[in-house]
Amino acid sequence: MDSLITILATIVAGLVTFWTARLIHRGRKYHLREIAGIKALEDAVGRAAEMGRPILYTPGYGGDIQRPTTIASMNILSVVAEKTAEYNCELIYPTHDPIIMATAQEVVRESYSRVGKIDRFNPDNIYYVSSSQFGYAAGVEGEIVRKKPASIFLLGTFEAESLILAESGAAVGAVQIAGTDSTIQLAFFLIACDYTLFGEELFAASGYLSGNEATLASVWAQDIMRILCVSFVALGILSALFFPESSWWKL
Amino acid sequence: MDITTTISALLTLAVFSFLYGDNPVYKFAERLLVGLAVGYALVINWQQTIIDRLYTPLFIDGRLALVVALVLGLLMFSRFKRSWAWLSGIPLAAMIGAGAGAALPAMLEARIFKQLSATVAVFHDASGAFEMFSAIVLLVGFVTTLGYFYFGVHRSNALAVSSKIGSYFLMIFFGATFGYTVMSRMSILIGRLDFLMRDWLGVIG
Amino acid sequence: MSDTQTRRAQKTRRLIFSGVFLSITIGLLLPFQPEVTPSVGTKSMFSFIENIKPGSTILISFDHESASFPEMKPLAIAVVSHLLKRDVKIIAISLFPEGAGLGASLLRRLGEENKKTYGTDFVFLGFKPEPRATILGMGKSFSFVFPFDFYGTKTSDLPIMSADRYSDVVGVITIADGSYPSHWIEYGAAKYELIVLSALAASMVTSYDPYVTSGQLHSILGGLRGAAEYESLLNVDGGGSRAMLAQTAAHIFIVLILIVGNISYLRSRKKKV
Repeated sequence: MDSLITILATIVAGLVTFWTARLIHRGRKYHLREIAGIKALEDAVGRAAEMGRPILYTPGYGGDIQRPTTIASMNILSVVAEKTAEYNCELIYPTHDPIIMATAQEVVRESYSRVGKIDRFNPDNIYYVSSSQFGYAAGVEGEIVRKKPASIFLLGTFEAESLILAESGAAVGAVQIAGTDSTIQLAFFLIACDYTLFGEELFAASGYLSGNEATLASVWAQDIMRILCVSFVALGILSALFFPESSWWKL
Repeated sequence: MDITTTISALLTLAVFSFLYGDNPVYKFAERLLVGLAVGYALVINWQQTIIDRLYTPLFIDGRLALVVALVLGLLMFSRFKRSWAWLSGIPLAAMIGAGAGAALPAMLEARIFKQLSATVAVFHDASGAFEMFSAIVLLVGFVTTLGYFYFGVHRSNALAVSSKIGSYFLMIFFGATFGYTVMSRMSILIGRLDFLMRDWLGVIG
Repeated sequence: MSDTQTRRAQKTRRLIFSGVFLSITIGLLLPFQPEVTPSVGTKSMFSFIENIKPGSTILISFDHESASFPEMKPLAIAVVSHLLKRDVKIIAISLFPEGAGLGASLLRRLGEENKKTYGTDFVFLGFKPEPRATILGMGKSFSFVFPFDFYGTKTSDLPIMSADRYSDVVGVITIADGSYPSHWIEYGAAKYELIVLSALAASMVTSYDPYVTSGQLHSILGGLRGAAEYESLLNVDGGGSRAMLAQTAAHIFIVLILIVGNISYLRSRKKKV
């Protein structure tokens, strides 16, 4: 029974995403609400250019390349890298995962090449630190303290290192834009960062910035799935209150 | 007191010295930590993964199916030569595909279905006025927080109000989480100071 | 931020750090402990272990790193000691490389203290990467995923490994500082109906409370406070109980700092207006 429900839900989610993707492809506009952190991205790069200090971008310790958050972070990295290339800023990208490192190198190389600044691309600035959580945290923290970046992007899946990094960034006076789907870490980003993208705002930002049709369609599809979830709970509660013997809502 | 306690204590103090400011002693401890962590992970992975899960079963026990895993693993190294780099996409695609395939049903069931059912069950099982009140608070939190994450359309007033209420629920959650984390970090510091005073200096009995 | 502001912030930071250090040191040096009342979660985990039939087997996963060990150690000692005293057999693993070294030495020490035999009463299988694949693979067979234990012995040669799948164990206790209990819930509980309990770092408690309400997680033991509560139920004086006064002192100091910080923030806002 559990498997049947899962298959049905997967099919429904797939159909909804397919439908929204077709609508967007046919030119239907999907209006995304304003998200403060998105606007701040460009300002943060500009600030670094004005101050002549680098930008530090890190995707957190919790993610691997399979995670949607990491992919969303890569989409945003692509846009940020394009701007750092335009403004001649140094972009530093430490990570805990060699595969993420390799992917990020390709993403940044492409961005630099898109704006015709491939000669300024330095693959050594995108590097692996450590697979140990606090080894990674100590390495990135040290980099923040020594290089004093003007802007810091903490976008991806973070765990206990979130506050260590965000606190260090705040201490060196960097403008910090954070975003994660790790609900628990949002509390610390909210306190220590200038802008925070909450959970799915990160995916929405990624879709908005990249203009990628598939990402926008999935954000739209998620809106619809949320309505379906609320409807399920509403019907379930009515059924549980007025027909206490009912059990269809026990998934 | 043995030498490992003293080494451990001195390194703890070296890391604590960062609280005053960045300094060579801290830098030494930081680099040692990063290096040791990488070295330790390498040794453990070598023995417990490469030897135990690949070398022994394949080359000693003769489980030939593992050749596929070996080839896929070796393909990961192709990225070091630019003209062969595309080959590393094959194991990467296999990992992403298998990972997402395994994660999807598990996440749907554990994070969505069970949680939706539990939200309804709170109403079903509520037996008194207080429990019903708690259930209503839970429902308002659930609906308004989802409302906050509604990204599409220009908002109607109702959605704007719901979203605002949702953001308050989120703030309450963040506040509780922050409190717990302060507790967690204090615990770690207490553990370290207890170690310094009890095991190293012996000032606590 | 101007240089003066940065210097002032740095000075305040050092004052706060000194205050925290001082309050904890005083708390550790004073020779008494506040009384703790066990919470519902602690009692629930205690009674689960208390009701396990002696001779049954349980799985323990050390899903933490060395940095959080000061917080995880009292939790691990309380739970593992209770299991060994109840003559419950332990099969232990780790989903973190660092957790393997820490778990192995802790289990070995507690096993010896409780006069248990390695391989018969407890075993440490070590670490395997990719938590999802490890948990799913263990659903088929423990010895398939762990052909050798942490010390290189063939697992099929160990008597305790007659328990080779989830249906042979009463449940799993994940001693975790991060998000790994999710994997046990999503893959172990959902797919194999494995009962999951967790001794968690306090910072993770709010994230896992909904799973207790929904019945996906049996119970949570949270942070040093959880360890102290558990020790009170066991009637022992452990790392959790000893730390309670220091933790209370640190919390009082933090609350005072929060009040002072907020007052000074409100005053500075008023000045700006």
